[in-house]
Parts: sequence; C-alpha cells; structure tokens
Amino acid sequence: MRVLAVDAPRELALCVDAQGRHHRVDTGIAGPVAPDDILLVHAGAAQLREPG
Amino acid sequence: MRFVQEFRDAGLGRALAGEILALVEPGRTYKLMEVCGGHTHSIYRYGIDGLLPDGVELVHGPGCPVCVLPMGRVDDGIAIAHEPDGIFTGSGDMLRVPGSRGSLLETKAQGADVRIVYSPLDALGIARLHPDREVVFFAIGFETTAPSTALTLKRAKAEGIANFSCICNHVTIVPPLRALLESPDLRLDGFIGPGHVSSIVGARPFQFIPADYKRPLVISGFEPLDVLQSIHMLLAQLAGGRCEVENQYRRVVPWEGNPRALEVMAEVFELRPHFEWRGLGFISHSGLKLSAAYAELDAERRFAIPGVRVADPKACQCGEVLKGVIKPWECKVFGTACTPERPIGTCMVSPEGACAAYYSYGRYAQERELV
Repeated sequence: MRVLAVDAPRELALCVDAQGRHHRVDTGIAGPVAPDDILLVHAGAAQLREPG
Repeated sequence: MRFVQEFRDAGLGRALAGEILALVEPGRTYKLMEVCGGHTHSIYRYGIDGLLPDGVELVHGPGCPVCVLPMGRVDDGIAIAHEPDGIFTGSGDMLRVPGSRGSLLETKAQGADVRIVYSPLDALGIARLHPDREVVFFAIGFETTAPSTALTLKRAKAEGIANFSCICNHVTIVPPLRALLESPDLRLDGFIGPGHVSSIVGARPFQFIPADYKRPLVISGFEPLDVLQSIHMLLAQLAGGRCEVENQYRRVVPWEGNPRALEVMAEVFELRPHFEWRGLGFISHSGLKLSAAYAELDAERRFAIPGVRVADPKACQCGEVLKGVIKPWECKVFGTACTPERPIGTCMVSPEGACAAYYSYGRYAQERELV
C-alpha cells in the first residue's frame, strides 16, 4: 500500500491499496513513515516500509 | 507495480523450469509441501505445477488460518454474537466458516449485529463510535496477523476503551509442522517455507526441521518466480546432499524476524497449553491467548462461551487435505456438495484454502480426468 497521509503521534497512516481502496493502517511496527512510502501491510498493520 | 511485475516474467519462469528439470534425478519422486495457503493460491493461479517435471509433487500444508479453525471455535463466536446489544466483528472469510449450526454470516441474517471489518483497528473504531455497546473482534491467523491484533489491544488498553474485547484464535506455525513431521502417513522431502509468517518470526524457528528431521526448508515469496526459485533451491539442496534453512524471500524476510512485532506479541499474548486444529487435533503450545496483563480485553472471560469440541461433518475430508494426505479433488464432496458458494469444509471457504484454489483455477475438471 502507498502512504497518503500520516498521523505520526497516533502511529497511524492513511494508505491506498493497488485497487484504489483507502485503509487506515497501524504503523507501530514499521516505525515512522512518510507520504509516498510503500508499506507491506497485514491485517491493517504495516510490517515493512520501502521509502517512496 | 514495483516488487510484483519483475517476479512474473514468463521467460525467466520457463528458464527456471528448465533448470528445475535438470536437477531432477530420473525415476525419483520429490514431495514438497508448501506450508502457506498463499503459496497454494499462487501455484494454481499461475499454473506453476504445470511447469514442474512429473516426479515433483506439491503437497498442500496447514498454513491457511481460516482452514485450520475447528467448528467449536466458530460456535463460540456465534454464542457471543447472540449477546444482546453486542456488535461482533471479523474478516469476511472468517464469517463464512460453518460452525455446527451455521456460520456467523447466517447468524447476522438471523438478526445479530455481525460486521465484516478489514482489520482489528477498524473493529476498535466501531467500539469508539458505540461506547454503549460491547464490540468483539474475532481474531484469527498465524504470526502474520497476530501483531496487528496485539497493536490494537495495546491501543484499546492505552485509551481505556472498555467496551472492546477480542476472542483470540491466533496460532503459531512451528508446532503443526512438527506434528506433520511426526505423522507416519506423510513422507515429505522438503518444505516451501511461509514467507509472511517468516517476516515476523524470521528463519531461525525453522532450523529444527533440518536439524531434527533432515528435511530442507526454503522460505519463499509469493510471486511465480519466487515459488519456482524456491523449488529450484530445494531440489539443489537435495541433489547436493545438503539440508538447511534457506531464505529466498530476502527482500521481505530478515533472518532474525521483526523484533518490534515479536516484542508486542510477547507482551499481549501467551501460549495456550493446547489448541485444537482442524484435521490435526489438539497440538500443544500452538495457540495464543491474551496475557494476564490484557485479560480484561479477553472476550472468552467477558462472555459465556460453549467451549465444546465439535466433530467435522462426516463427508468433509478437510483434515486429510490439510495434512496433504489427499488432494482436494479426492474428497467425496469436492465440487459437488461443497463449493465456494456453499462450503462444507473450511478449505473451500478461504481463497487461500487448497480446495478453493483447485476449484477456482479449474483443477476440478483436469484432475477428475486423471482419475
């Protein structure tokens, strides 16, 4: 999923998947993320971050 | 799309298939188990089995979390879903799994407030919106999805959301693999290891397989070239007399796993003494429950549940499919009484289930002709 917006204090990100659907993602495991980063997400939690 | 298209190159796939053929010893048969349901799906979606030499057989393992959930746990969820003024949440696949008296979706049709959610985080959002109602999340999955549940429970506790709880059905992958290796009716030559689970636990937990059982394991990605390369790596080990854990999916799986995810899981969960698996029976230390620190968010403590073991329907052979003893098309009800629209067994419910993969990608007709 690609990061669209970040709520850093709450460790949340708004992301879009390959089908264009938007999801709220917990970034507590992946660490700080930024818009345009690509995240590997399972069940709503980002596990891996690839810088955008 | 990055990280996807480059692993679907047909020319490279054909070249890898040729190299796999070159590694096969004439007259020898190789049984390789793909542990994860995601691999089963990829194999049949991309026709990978059709690229393999006759002597190489792929056996489907127990790595689909929906498929291994016993009926009794579904009944426990249904009992909670009938609680007045409650909201019961879970993944779409999970809600379709039949219990002894119907599924959670059928419970919804009878009037219970049962909702499909994308994640536990979304279930927690529902709890925030409805502070006067009990919101329960039905958590399933291996170590892949357990960190997400753990993070959400930590969030619920930190925010003091008292009307949220979780019925935990998370399981761990190593105990069932050991149970399979101890099974006398299954001879395997190697394992295609679970890529997503390994992104959390790393490669180290699988080292008992070569050490104790003298079988190689290659942790694999899910694109067609990933799976073909992993099969090539397994056959190369067997041809060279080697037996070890290798990591084909290095772009995602660190050898040591994900320390932050493991730390969160260790805080929120603890191992159950026993947990029942469909087809495999009770396996020691294979299931997770909420730790004492999170007991107030445990739906099994908050609500009365039957907790009764329920035998699978006699016609259903999911257990044998999950152990790789039979192929899906060998089940008596496959494609007739049991279809994705009206599943009897769990392997037909989830897209990652072996029966659903066979059915969806046309292996029904092809394999029947072979019979």
